[in-house]
Amino acid sequence: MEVGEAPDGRRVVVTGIGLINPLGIGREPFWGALTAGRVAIAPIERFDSDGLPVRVAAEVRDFRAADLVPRRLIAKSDRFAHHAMAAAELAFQDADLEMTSLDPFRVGISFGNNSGGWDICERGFEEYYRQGPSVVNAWQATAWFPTAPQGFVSIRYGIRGFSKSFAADRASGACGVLFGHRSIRWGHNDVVLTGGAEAPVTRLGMASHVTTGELSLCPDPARAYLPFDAARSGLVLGEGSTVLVLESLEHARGRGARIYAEVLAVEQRTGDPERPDAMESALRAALRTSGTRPEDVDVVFAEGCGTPAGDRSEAQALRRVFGNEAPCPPVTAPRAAYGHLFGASFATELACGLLAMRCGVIPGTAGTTSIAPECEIPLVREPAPAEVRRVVVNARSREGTNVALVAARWPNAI
Amino acid sequence: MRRVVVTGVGIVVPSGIGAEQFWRNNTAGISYTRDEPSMVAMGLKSHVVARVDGFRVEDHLPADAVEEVSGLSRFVQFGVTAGTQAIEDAGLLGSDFDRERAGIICSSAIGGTPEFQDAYEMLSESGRVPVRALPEHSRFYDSVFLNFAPAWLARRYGLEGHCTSLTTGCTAGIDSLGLGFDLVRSGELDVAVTAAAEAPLSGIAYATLDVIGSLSRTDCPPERASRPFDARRGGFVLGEGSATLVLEELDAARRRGARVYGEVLACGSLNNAHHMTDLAADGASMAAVVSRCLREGGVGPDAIDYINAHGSSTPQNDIFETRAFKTVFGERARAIPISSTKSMIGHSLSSASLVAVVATLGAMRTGVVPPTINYEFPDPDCDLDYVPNRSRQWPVRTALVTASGFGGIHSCTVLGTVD
Repeated sequence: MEVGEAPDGRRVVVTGIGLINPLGIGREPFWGALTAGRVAIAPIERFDSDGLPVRVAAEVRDFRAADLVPRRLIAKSDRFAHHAMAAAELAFQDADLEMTSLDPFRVGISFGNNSGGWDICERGFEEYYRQGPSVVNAWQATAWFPTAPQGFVSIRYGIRGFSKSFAADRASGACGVLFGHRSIRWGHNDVVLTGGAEAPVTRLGMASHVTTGELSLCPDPARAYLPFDAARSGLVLGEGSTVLVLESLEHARGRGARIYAEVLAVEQRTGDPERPDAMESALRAALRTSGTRPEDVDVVFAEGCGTPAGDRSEAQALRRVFGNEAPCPPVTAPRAAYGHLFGASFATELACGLLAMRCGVIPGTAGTTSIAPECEIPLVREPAPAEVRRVVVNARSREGTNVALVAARWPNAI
Repeated sequence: MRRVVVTGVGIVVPSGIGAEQFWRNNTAGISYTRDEPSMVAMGLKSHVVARVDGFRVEDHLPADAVEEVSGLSRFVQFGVTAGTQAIEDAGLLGSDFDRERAGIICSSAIGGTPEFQDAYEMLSESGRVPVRALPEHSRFYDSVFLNFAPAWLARRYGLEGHCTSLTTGCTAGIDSLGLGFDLVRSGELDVAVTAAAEAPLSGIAYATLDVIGSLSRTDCPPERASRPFDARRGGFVLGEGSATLVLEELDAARRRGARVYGEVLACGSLNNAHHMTDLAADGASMAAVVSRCLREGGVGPDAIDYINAHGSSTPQNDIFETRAFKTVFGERARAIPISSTKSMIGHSLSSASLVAVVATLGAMRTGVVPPTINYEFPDPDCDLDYVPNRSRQWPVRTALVTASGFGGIHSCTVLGTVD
């Protein structure tokens, strides 16, 4: 038994995908747009961005929460919770799962969210300053904090089991997935909704996120987010939610579920964000725990944050882990098409990995045209056909925590 | 499963900075809730808070650390201060722990909300113009968002495993303990630093909590506004603070001769899936999490000899908890002393539940259980032993700590002494 492995060896599989993404609502529209090479990064339309240094984002458009979320919950909650509730609904549908057939105390939620509810936050501030502190809306206290999606999803579906929400900058969603995986491994739950939600595309949200120092200030939507490119200038914020249904293998088999893949390992390591060491360590740990040789990996979904040091050190880490023993597997950063989703990222790239396994296509890295010499890796630029059996998903926070995941196609081909 | 013990404690609360001072004032039953004139000026119904008076980060950290965190928000400064205390208290620095098997789980409900409000006020000219962007070099993100303190502690002390923040509101502190417990128990980590930091005192926090009737509206002197289990309780008093616990595997702690404050025997957390803030009067949701936690930890209900309750002083919560304890412990519920630390220092959201754990470790060490102060008028629906007003000599070997929070989350932990 590997160190860190649960003594009962509970195996964790993915049985459902729900996506509310700038590229599309739902699994097929999203995947169709992504593999057609479409890009959702565009000039901001939702609000007047005049005077802000950042003028582009990946917005979720054509989303009507009421199509998927009860109206009584919409009024009380912020857009990021609408995204989460809608993605949860799609995930339940995709997994062909209903709460009525489950023990509610064995179903949990493990979400990432980095930044809370900006729409309602702005509304609250406006009420506070324009009308007076005693007339602030009654929903704000429960709508803007980062655990609101967990709360609303638990109430909507009657989910009673061990549930947690995480903030860790760009790795927020990755922490959600890691601990969602653990909550099954450790025996707290049989079923977990994992992933996360984000909706920072508001004027106040953009004005604040500029201070990460990682947002691209490039006004050209086609040139703003270029992971690993010589001309990269940072990332572009997106919004949306991805919710995946994780189940113990036993539970999934017991109900005859369609299984996308097995999550073999999720590991976390922390260190200097400008150096490759901690990411290398997280990757090696995930490969070791999952019994994966570097040459068994068919594609790596990179963090690709688009900053000079971030992409350089990620490329270094990938070369160290994969480059010495065999040619580095293809690397891709599909978020170049839908923006960085922070709390909703990682689950989104894992979903891409699962769909790549099913469809035999690796999505590309939109935008990037000339890979920087210090970022030399086999980056997939256009959607490419490939046999995908085993994927690695990478995440890294601005402060230097790294999460690496290994998933294998089901039934396991290796 | 491996056994998990607490080997380091750090705390910053209105009643003390450092565990010894906190334990002394906490058992002395001193109130730290005070009048907050700005709340009256805002036209709110509540006008009391509990503040950490005279906190200066430079009094607690070395100069190089002060330089890195000066100008950052109050909750970050609380977090790095309590974290530093705990890590130093545990003597981790002199030990040869495996860095990749050491991690940190921090927590906060609303992060740098006061500093966020200050920025909004400035950038929007108090709501008069569309917000301008902050300068890119501003440290707003580090200051207001949630993950700076754990990342800073990880870097400074070489914690190279997990590093993240929980955001599960008022249970987040005890939830961080729960995750740290699982990480060490399962063998994934050898050392888990678990923490909570909260400094919410600001106009927007007062306004949003006051409008939903959460804050204390009791007509009484401000020192008496937090009155858990008392018939005249009328909401919680917003407080601030931070706590950190260092968790280690028992044998490893013993091998390096670490001081052991107590053992974490079990942790549990469930959702009521009922309402974001309301609690069903029957207490069944809390009873469920406590029962399951005891069962999973192999601890019989009869072993519990002290409860540090959420005891928030809201009309709903205190009945809810009382009924839950009766459900779990039956007639024996009357024989278990129960206290609420919030009676003295208010409710510091995420931090409150981890502060409650520190208070309980103090009771186990000293054999004195802290009181619930401001208990004057018995509530027929809250008829257990709340250790009214005065601390009590009472040996504590196995204790329960409970917490409830926005989002409908209920969490608890069971702590034990180690011989």
